[in-house]
Amino acid sequence: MKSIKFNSYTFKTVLLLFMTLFWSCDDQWLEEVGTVSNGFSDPRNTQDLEQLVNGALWVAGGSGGFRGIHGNQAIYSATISDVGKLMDELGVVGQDAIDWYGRDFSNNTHSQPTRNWEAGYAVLLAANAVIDWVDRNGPFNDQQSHWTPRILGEAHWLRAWVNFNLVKIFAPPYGADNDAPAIIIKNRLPNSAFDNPAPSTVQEVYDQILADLDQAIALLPEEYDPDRDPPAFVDRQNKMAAHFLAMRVNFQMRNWEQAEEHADVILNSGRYPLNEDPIEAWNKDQFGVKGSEVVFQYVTSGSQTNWKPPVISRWLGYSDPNGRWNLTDRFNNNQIMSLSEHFKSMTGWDNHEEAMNDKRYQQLFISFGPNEDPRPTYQGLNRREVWGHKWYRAGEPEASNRVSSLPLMRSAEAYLTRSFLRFSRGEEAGAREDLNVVRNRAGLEDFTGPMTAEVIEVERMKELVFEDDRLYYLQALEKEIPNGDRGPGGIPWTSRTWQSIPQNEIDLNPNVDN
Amino acid sequence: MKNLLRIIIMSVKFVLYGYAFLLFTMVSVLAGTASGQVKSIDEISIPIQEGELSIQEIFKTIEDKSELRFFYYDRKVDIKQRVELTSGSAIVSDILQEVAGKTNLHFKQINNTIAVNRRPKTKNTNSSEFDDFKTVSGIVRDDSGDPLPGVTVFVEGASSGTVTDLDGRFSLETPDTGYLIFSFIGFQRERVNLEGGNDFDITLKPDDDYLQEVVVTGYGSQIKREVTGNIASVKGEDLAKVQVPSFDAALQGRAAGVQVNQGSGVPGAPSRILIRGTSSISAGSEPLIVVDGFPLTQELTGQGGINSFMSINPADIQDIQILKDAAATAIYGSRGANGVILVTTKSGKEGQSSVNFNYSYGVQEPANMVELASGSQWLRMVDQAFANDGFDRVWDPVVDGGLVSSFVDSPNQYLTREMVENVAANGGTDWLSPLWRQGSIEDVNVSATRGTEKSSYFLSFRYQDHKGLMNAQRLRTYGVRANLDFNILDNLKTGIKNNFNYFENEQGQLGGSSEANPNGGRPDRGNRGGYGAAISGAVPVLPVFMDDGSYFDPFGGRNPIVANLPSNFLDKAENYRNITNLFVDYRPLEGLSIRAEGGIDTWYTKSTYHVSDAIRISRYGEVGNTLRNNININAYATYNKKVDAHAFNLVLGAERQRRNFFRTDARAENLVSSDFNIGETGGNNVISLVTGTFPEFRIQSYFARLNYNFNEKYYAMASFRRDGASVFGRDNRYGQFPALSAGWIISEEDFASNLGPVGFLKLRASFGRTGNADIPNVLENRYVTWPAYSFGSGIIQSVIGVPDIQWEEINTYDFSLDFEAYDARLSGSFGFYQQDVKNMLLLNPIPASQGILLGNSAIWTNIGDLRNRGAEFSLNTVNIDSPGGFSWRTAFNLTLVKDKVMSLVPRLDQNNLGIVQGATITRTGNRLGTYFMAEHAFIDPDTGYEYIYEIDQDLFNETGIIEKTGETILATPAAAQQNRVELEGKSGLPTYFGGLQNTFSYKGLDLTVFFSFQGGNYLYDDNRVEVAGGSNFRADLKDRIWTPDNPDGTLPRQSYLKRTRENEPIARPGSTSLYLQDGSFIRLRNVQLSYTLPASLLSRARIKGGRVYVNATNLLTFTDYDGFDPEVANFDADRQNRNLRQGFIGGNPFPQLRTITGGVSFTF
Repeated sequence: MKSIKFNSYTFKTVLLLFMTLFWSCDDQWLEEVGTVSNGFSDPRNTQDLEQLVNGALWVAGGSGGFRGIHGNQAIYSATISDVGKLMDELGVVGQDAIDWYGRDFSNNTHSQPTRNWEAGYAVLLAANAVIDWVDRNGPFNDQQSHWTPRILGEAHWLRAWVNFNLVKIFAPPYGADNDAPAIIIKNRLPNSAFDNPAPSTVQEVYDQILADLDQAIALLPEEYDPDRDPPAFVDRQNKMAAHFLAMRVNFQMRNWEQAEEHADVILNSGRYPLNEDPIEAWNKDQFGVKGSEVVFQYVTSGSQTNWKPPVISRWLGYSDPNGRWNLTDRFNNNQIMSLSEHFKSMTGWDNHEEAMNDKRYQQLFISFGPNEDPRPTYQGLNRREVWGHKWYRAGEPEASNRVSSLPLMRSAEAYLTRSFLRFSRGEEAGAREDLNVVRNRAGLEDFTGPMTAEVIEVERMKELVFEDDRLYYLQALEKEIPNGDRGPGGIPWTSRTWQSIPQNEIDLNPNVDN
Repeated sequence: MKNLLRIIIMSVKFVLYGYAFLLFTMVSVLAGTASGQVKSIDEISIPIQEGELSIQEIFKTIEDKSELRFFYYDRKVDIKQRVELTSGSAIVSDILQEVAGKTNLHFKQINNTIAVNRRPKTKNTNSSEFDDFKTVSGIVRDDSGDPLPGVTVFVEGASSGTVTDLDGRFSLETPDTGYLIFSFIGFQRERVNLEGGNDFDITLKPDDDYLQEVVVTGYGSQIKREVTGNIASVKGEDLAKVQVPSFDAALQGRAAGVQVNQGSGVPGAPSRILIRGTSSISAGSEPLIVVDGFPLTQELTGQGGINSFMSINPADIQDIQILKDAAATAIYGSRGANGVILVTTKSGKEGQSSVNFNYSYGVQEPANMVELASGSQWLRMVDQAFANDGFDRVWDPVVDGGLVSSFVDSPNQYLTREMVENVAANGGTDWLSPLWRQGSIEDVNVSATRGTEKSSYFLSFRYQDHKGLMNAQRLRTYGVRANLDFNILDNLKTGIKNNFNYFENEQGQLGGSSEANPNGGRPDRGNRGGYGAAISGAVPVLPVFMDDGSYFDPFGGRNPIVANLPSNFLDKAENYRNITNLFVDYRPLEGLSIRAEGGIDTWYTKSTYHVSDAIRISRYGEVGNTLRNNININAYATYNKKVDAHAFNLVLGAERQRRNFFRTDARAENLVSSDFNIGETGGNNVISLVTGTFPEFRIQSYFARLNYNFNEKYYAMASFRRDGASVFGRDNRYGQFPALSAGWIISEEDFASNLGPVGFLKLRASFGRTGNADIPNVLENRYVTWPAYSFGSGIIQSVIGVPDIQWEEINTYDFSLDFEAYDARLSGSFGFYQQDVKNMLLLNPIPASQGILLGNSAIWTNIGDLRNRGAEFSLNTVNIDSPGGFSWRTAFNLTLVKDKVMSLVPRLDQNNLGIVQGATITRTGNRLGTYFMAEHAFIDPDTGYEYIYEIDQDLFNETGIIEKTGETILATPAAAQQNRVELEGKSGLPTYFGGLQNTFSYKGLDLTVFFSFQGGNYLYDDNRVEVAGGSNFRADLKDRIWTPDNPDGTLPRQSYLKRTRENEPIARPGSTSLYLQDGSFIRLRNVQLSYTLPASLLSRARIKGGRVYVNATNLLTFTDYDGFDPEVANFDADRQNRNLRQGFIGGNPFPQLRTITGGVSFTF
């Protein structure tokens, strides 16, 4: 057998072959595919930042617009408070609503609050991705860099909006126990997927909300400007939406003075007059279109969207039995609540004919006398019921879309808030003026009787029922929460009205205990 | 396991007894004539001192100074005995003669060995010392008549022997009586009676015993007996017997440790292969498939409806090796964790030439189909369920059933109760039959092969026309293979293997009812529904036509007949796939070879989709282009060296692979023409273009392997591979995968040369580490980019990247014993393995507060341990091999597998939680995918409602511990959800599987009967087991549901609203264990009767061989499972779902095929 000769031609050839092979196997070849980054969002330009805040609003709607942080929480506050009557004997109500109506919060696996929690934190992740990036790196140096302050302002607004919604759903009302654990504050990107902070206190959450709102007010533009902003911004939040949210938060915290200041800014701007019928706020289903009183609405419109309507419209909204989407049991024949008898007697809407003079009752509610309800499941009802009809305009028989935009901030609320605030500091004329703006728009005469807090409260109930207001209004005013149709009396404002942190968070977050 | 240990101990004892026995019988191995170079002791002179010496000293002196060696047995030869040497001669023969004269010793030279024995005592004291023996001689040939040199010839039970010379001749002194044994590797051992004469002409038959097969081991090959890893082999001819379109399906039941489940009978549908069960939770469990050295593109469900393995024509396959333990697979490193299947295709062989032609035609029908309710039965049962809810009116198909789509303006007038009653009264509508037919499969295979000294080729052509059970299903396959080999120089070879396939796949619709809806975000495809609709949403009381002759609700999705008319619907995919491998093999030096291989697998699919405006608002078309590329290159050097009895084989090499994928889809609305081709779109067309590239996957590797063998008895192997993969972060790209193994051929030991009937015994043991990186290429951040709010598009983070993730690591221990007995009539292997999976690539669920709403609310982590143990047993027997020509052979294999989760995420373990995947839970201490649902207690004979066992909620909420209270409660959906229990021992993963084949042959007639079986798993039956107004259900529900007349019914009282009379919602199928069933089955997988035509008949036509056959697959299935088919395969793209929910049967299972095929095969 031949032995290997190291200087032979053959050996050199072999060596060369192998050297070529191993030389080429450098790590660069693997790197070319791309490297793995730190684990969280890494925007590459201003457009990415823009898409993050836009995406955040989308995800606020939950998965496919179905169950999210964009308004469905109104279902809890309506069922927990005194405004509604639960239709549980009709078999259209799920166990979750039965629990809330019974003010039983022991089950923390119900899907609605769980999805609110999830959607809320998804919004926070996107907002933090923007804020963290700009904090660490400053604006991108590109053609859209002038968008950066506005985008940053939106991110702060989103954080404040989500935190305010979450703290109302999952924590005691402000002032009841401010040291109680509330929700998890996420005001930065996590270091890793194992970075899971513990819940903060109620006070800390509200402090965070106010801090974010300061930023949002400072950074957001007054309004959409087609020469400066991308078209997508037309349906998003501007500076007035930040003032509106600041008004609400301060009202909730009983910072009356600040709340009124913000209301003043909104109303004195003159941009949100109550000069249209109430229905005009609720029947918009096109991008960039909203009622004159609407400061912020959540857009779930568009001809090419397959978004599903928010659950609020399915649970609280009436759907025409002959409507396109209500042929069978596909959608929306499970309206779970009508107005409570208690509500109707407080507001005078127990007199149907008289109530019909109120454009709100006429346009935003639908009422059937005994055995008149055309929906098969509801046909057995033997007394007059008044049903919410604010939602689902686009689901009418003639419409092809299932959805319409969802107003979340209307100037009517600002008028009524300011009316109360003016009244509470003794400025009755101003209070009356604000109250009458709302009444006049509803087609009602000026209120000329003696001004009381109750008068303003009743007007507010009629104006904002099923709009996530009643429960928190009572808590802000530290008033007893009446039992409504459950019976006489009520519960103290500090009583348990909030959901537990969802079980799936508790199961997986080592810093949250049962 | 105890039994296994006992067997091993017994085996060792057996060996020891054999050794003791041999001590008395064996003295030497003799040879006489093999080499002319050996000097006779007459010629060797060794000076040796005179005087008294011990025998030992004399032997040592001679051995030291010559090449002679003494061979004796201590107990027979007293070597301490002293002898006085006086002759003074230096010639060895003289010295030994003198010793013999002074002792009772007898010497005999065989080559360089001098056998020493005691001089035999003879009865006849006058006879010479050689009188006991006679000299026999002869020649040994192979079956072609050529002489065989080197054949060992010895007398059975005696000490003498020889080997044949270069001319195959031998000469040997033997007793008058007894037997001569002829033994040579690669041939069957021959036993000849010595009384038959003194001159023998022996022809040895080639030994087709599996120990002599050449086994491809990955970057090289070995003789099976030398292999120390655990490798199962399946021969191409066995695969070809099962008439299946792709080889994966034919592997079922063929080899221990290999579980193959066919998914469905859809043409082109894949099988799912698992080797040694499931050894991961979140990462993939499928083996690597390597064809002729090239790692094949493997898409789980294929592309364009074609499974990844269809491109390899089963008739082209020479053999398949299945590498199971880490010793065998570690050379494939990171891709070897789930086993490796090596497919070798046929090549031309020197001196051989033939042309083969094979034609077969088969007919197909569904196997294990369930019977669905007829029209009248359906309406009666729906009415009953409706009445059960207390309605005082009859059920209405529109108001209550929603059986008319929103495209119909006046639904209440369009379909009335009276109409459905009429349809039911007339026997109901059978929606399936018009879509259905008898399937057929026609297969033509032509191949030619020829080999010369300089080159060889194997060429094949395949045409297959598979008409599926649905009218619209037709898959035509055209395949061409050319395997060419060239010897350019004496030491330089090259070759190319080229395999091209074209598949024209007309895919029927399989889906369920889906109403046309052009307003979705993505253009809708129209009224969908084929097979799925026909057995579900198209209920048997709906009419096909309206009174005016028009089709009933053509947009509604409940009329599959109109939806499947060829003029209304087309879904066709044309696949072009080419796999080319090239190799160069250079042998610059003796023992050294350098081989470089390069291969490319290019798979292009063009799909065409067309829906007419008869079933949709406008004509709609889609064209799709998908291109998948897979390039692999490697180079390795092999060096063989033998030093005395030590043989080494060293392999060193490097390899790179890259895979990429690209697709574009164009969609057009409002097509002007009804032509299937979109062509030029004009006017009011909405056209969208979707395109995507996906991250390329790259892997680069270095590997080495050293095989060592001593004396062809002791084998050892060490291998090492270093892999770098692009899916991991920069600091974690490389993984190391070592393996060690050893084998001991006990039967080769001198002490064991006669183990009674056992002719071969090999003990193997191995340890190795492999990796698993089969996770989606998603370790970086991912965004969902389609969310759109208002006018703007948005991005949402959907996956949190994890840069510090690494390979899943599997440490495998493997022990096994291979044996052969009774002249290879009995052979087999049994073994035990344990896979310890460390640092699992586990999808770790993260809290919702991390903010991942869309996409994965889990991150990939290296966390958790899993253990997968098993035993494998295979046995091949020749039960009868009569001289009359009748033979009966049996092959049996059985695999037992058991998995156990050792640890998961600490947070989950701490809370006694597990990974909940659908209706399964995977918890530390238990099996993978254990069913997790409320435990059915009983059907209340008074009310007909289902009751379940209650669990202690307080205990569960506080500790996560699930304990039944002993109480039963009504099965409402909420109660079923809140009272889920882990049904210990019940998982969808089988605990055993195997196969049994019997082959009977008689004078050209062959009958093969092959069963495959599996069991120990539970199937969760979610299909058509409740009465519902919107879909069909099984006919047998009639007898199974509770009614006042049938209080012992096993299924609950049916409710239309799914509520009790007290308005409590009732649990649906799927939430309680009522619908869980034992999934064990035995299947008569294949029966083949063939007749080999007599050569005398064929020779006139110059035909070398001819065969006709009839073949049947899936003839019978024995199972207690009462749903569709118990053989299920989960092909979910989500790996965790695929691993943990193997027993879930949802959707509309498409039946498996029962095929009867007839065929002819000729060789020219």
